[in-house]
Amino acid sequence: MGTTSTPKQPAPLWRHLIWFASLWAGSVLTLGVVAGILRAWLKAG
Amino acid sequence: MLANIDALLLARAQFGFTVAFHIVFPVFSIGLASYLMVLEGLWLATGRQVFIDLFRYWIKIFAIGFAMGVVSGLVMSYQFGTNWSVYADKTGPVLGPLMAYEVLSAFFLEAGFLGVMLFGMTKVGPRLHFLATLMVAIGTFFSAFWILSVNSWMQTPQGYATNPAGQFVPVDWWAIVFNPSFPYRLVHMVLAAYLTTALVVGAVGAWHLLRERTNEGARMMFSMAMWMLAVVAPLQILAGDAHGLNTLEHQPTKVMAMEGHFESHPDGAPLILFGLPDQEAGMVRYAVEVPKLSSLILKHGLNEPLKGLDSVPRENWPPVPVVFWSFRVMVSLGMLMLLLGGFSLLARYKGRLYEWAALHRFALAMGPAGFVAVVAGWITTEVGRQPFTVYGLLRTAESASPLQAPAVAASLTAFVLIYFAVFGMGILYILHLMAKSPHRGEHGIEPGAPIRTAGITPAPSVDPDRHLQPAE
Repeated sequence: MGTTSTPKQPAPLWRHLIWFASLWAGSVLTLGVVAGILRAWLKAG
Repeated sequence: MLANIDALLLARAQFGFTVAFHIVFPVFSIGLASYLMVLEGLWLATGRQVFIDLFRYWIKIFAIGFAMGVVSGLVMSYQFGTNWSVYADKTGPVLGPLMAYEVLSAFFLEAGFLGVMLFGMTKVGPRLHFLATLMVAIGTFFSAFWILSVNSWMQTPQGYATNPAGQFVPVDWWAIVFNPSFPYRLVHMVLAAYLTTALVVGAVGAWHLLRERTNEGARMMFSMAMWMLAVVAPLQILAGDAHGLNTLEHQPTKVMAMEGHFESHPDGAPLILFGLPDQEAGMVRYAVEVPKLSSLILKHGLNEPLKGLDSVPRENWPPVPVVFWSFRVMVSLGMLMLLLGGFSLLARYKGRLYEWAALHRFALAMGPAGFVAVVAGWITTEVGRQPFTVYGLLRTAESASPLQAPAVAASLTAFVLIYFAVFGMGILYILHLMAKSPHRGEHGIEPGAPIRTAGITPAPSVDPDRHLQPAE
């Protein structure tokens, strides 16, 4: 095992874009679930 | 006891309580999103560590404030269906689409890109991350745009017709969206958001400068906040004046209540600085006034006539004392903001921006002033619109659902308890985060992100200027 290491290569653009789209969609979905729960709670009340 | 309490009054109290709680969060989000965008942009442009440190410091606070704003806003919008169904039915064809656009902005711009902003720095790269921050900032602006267009239409309705069912239906969307008070309200509110955020950021910076004058992050945030205050506070006063003149043109009764003008003044109206408005008697008791100054401000002439509430049927009067005092609270705080901005310019000129403890104490005391001013301004404009929900067209008493007082009282009690518990905890946590001093190598939200280099020896990563915190 050597003591030197090569600098980490930045991830390719396609991987960045997939993460970008996934995080965006996950966030929208999360808010949708929160809104749905609140709506159900208020309708039940 | 509940039988004696008016269900309409309880419904109004519930809406007032939830809106007053809600409004402070989006105001903070609008300002803070733009501040984060500026910080990240400056980091990308200059590469200076202090900007990304401050970005990571404030993004945690932004995330909590944003979440509380979204939840309190969702609850509020559902009240249109529960307590204000007649209003929703009558105005739905006009206001429904505008509110839908606000929801679309909140979901797909603000909330969607917020996830990338919070968790994506190491996953999407700095430039795409900045794009997400930009989208969140734009999203907060568009949310404000649509919701203020809705509110402004309720104040100055136009571009509609009424159908046989008594509903307002759209005729000219352009006229509806850009109704007469909308541009003024939008500018006034967005500037208020920037001022409010600058006051909070300035207060946090001042708090840490009072303890550690050399803290680079505290110095930078304080300096940026004071620049914002010095520039925007005078602009806000000009925008407020223009908004007031617009209100005089379209909602003169509101201005009469703001000014405490029960009587008409054909030869120049005085500016009543303070006094006790007596709605029953139709007069302001113990008034301290400057002769003719109100005419000069509102009509740009000392002897210009101004009508008073005696020219309006009593059943169309708003609750004058509330409007009168909330307006004075807002204006007084605005003047104090101007004073703080001026004080900071003097300190900067003297080279004592980071050393003048009196300035820091003043800035610290003014930290919550923006929120108080926003709520006071909101009370002025909303109570000043009474007794109408849609000004001059739909009375508040005719807007409510068929309600039973005990049911509204029960839900109001639940709202008060839950809001104080949930949002109280959130606010306490925000204050806890603000109490921590900003430092080099600030942690973001993402877990496991490296905060310093890990070479064979740690020597290259040691920075003599770094201020180590006890927790590190």
